[in-house]
Amino acid sequence: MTGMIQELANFWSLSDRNVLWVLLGAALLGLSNGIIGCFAFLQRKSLIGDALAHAALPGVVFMFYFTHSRDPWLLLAGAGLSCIVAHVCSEYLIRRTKIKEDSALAIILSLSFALGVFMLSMIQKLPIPNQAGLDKILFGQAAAMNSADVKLLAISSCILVLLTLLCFRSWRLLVFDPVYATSIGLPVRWLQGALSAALVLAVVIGLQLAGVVLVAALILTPAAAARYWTNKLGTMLILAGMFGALSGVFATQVSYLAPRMPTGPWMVMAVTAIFAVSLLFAPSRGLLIRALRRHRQQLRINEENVLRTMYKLLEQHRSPLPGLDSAQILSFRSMLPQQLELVLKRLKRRSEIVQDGALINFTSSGYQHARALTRRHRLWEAYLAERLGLAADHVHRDAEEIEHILGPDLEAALLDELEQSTSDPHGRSIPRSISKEHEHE
Amino acid sequence: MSIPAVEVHDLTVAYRQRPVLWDIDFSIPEGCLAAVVGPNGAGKSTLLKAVMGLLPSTSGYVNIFGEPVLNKRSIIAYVPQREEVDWDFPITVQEVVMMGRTGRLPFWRRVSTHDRNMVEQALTEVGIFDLKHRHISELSGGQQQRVFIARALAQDAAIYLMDEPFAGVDAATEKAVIELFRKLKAARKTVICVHHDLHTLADYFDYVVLVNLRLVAAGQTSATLTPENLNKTYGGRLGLLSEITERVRKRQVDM
Repeated sequence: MTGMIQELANFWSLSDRNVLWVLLGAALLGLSNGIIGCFAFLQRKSLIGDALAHAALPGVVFMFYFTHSRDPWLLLAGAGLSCIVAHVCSEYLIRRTKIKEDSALAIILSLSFALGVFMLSMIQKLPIPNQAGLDKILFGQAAAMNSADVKLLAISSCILVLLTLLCFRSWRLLVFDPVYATSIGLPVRWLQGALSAALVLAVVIGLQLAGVVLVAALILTPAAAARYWTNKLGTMLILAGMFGALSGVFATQVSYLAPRMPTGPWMVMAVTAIFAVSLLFAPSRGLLIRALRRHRQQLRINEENVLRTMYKLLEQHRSPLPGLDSAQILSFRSMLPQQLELVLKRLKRRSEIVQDGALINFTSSGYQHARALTRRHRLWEAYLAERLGLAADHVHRDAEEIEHILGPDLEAALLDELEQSTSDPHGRSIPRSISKEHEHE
Repeated sequence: MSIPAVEVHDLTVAYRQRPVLWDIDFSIPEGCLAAVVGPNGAGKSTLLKAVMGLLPSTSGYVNIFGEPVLNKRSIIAYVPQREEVDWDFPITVQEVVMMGRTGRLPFWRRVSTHDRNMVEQALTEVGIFDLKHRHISELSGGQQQRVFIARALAQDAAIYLMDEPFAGVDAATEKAVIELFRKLKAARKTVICVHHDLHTLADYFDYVVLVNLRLVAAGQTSATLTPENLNKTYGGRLGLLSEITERVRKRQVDM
């Protein structure tokens, strides 16, 4: 344990030059890819990042074959060129043929990957010096990063962030509503071109660290995670950048502590973990809060149903009953006994009902609530029967669902429509609203 | 005679190599509420987009106040159909309406007080000022439509082109939009709508353009909206034209 803390301290002292390069590189890459990825994500072009990454491979190998150089700028240019070729090809397929976007991208992706692997194995047989490790581009290798690589990453990240700042307004409009953007005379083709170029750059600078196969995750996953936390594009970009950078830092640390651990895959793991947390716990969009909301809604519906059943049972008797027992309620309302138990407990706590031995009866506020619910239910049934001409035996189920949504405004609207009705299609009287009753008194 | 707000001359438009509008000719005077009417697939939306120069025309031209449309884009405001955008996009009502002001601004220009005022005025005009900080996914269909109309209003244009502004909106929104149309007309603005509802046509619009792949008739509603013209618009007898269109498309695909 102390050994681990010592190692961590070593890591953060940043005395190891190599660690510093990798750390900076991974953080910058995560940042810029996260930001640019938001636009691809929102444009629903998630597959494009992956296709571009695979398309970069033949470009890199090709460039190396001709120049015999491992200069990162040259390889970057090669990758960029082949990405652009692939992009133009897929656009052509999408626009000019009946092939849909996903198929076109899949075709381009696998073709260029095949081409790249084929060329890789070919040059390995040639007597070109300095080629050891070129195949690392498939899965990425952060440990091999040096100052020249980090410089390239830093410059490219700056370009990407600056470009995003400059184009933010136009890109947002372009992604949200391209037709409108054209109608007000925006240079839509140029803007889309710039966006595509930015995406190509983001993919290509990620190759060394994350590799052809994984780099797409660094582009999309931060955006998908960030979308859960905000409804503002600006905030989303910042969050996605942060998520990317954080996972870069985390991955570098992991691979420092356990040198056999590769940085790229750990970066993907980290950013996916952030995504999973967002998916589950984000406020208002997260799965957990939504499940909780559904659960509360269901509880409320059960409560309202029990109240209404009690009202119906009690109104059938001329002389007031001292109360009902749960068996009577269960015979009219199909629910499990333990469900009813829970509902009754909650109603008691809110003092809508009182229980005396086995007998359950309304309090006065509970009675009024039940009466209002019954009123809505029967009004809606009457409306369905009168206005939609539904048969009396058809309306109950519909009303069961609607009554829980009807608010006072819709109730008033229903009342306007049904001036004359005093009974529902089953012949039961619709209780008058409490306030009306007071008017009469 | 004064220069018409919109003049379409012998316009033929192909969409994905398929001619969808043939030899359209009409002109709409300034300060008109005009409706483009026709059955499904008659090319109404295409006509609207072609008027804005969004689609390449095979032949013919569109003039806006006597000048080519591409020089006059700044005085045209477009209201697309609601379905054309993703309503889950992370953006607020106010930000969408602000697009009408800042969409064309170069990136270094900040939003001015005037821009802000125009946006607030547009939001008020369509009755959604209270919703300005809402995320767009929280809006009803009618409110979505109002957001798009507010965005067009914020452009302070002379000509408004709207693609089915009444489709799927509530009665209150329809009334509010009609009220707004009257105001725009009073301010000598020209409104051109794709419209579906024949019952309200004569009440809402004083000019109609009847299309069904070709122009059937165009003119003042009272004179143009005759049973005979409607019959021609909706009554088919276009079998031959559709057949030719289909053939042209096939041949181009084969080539």
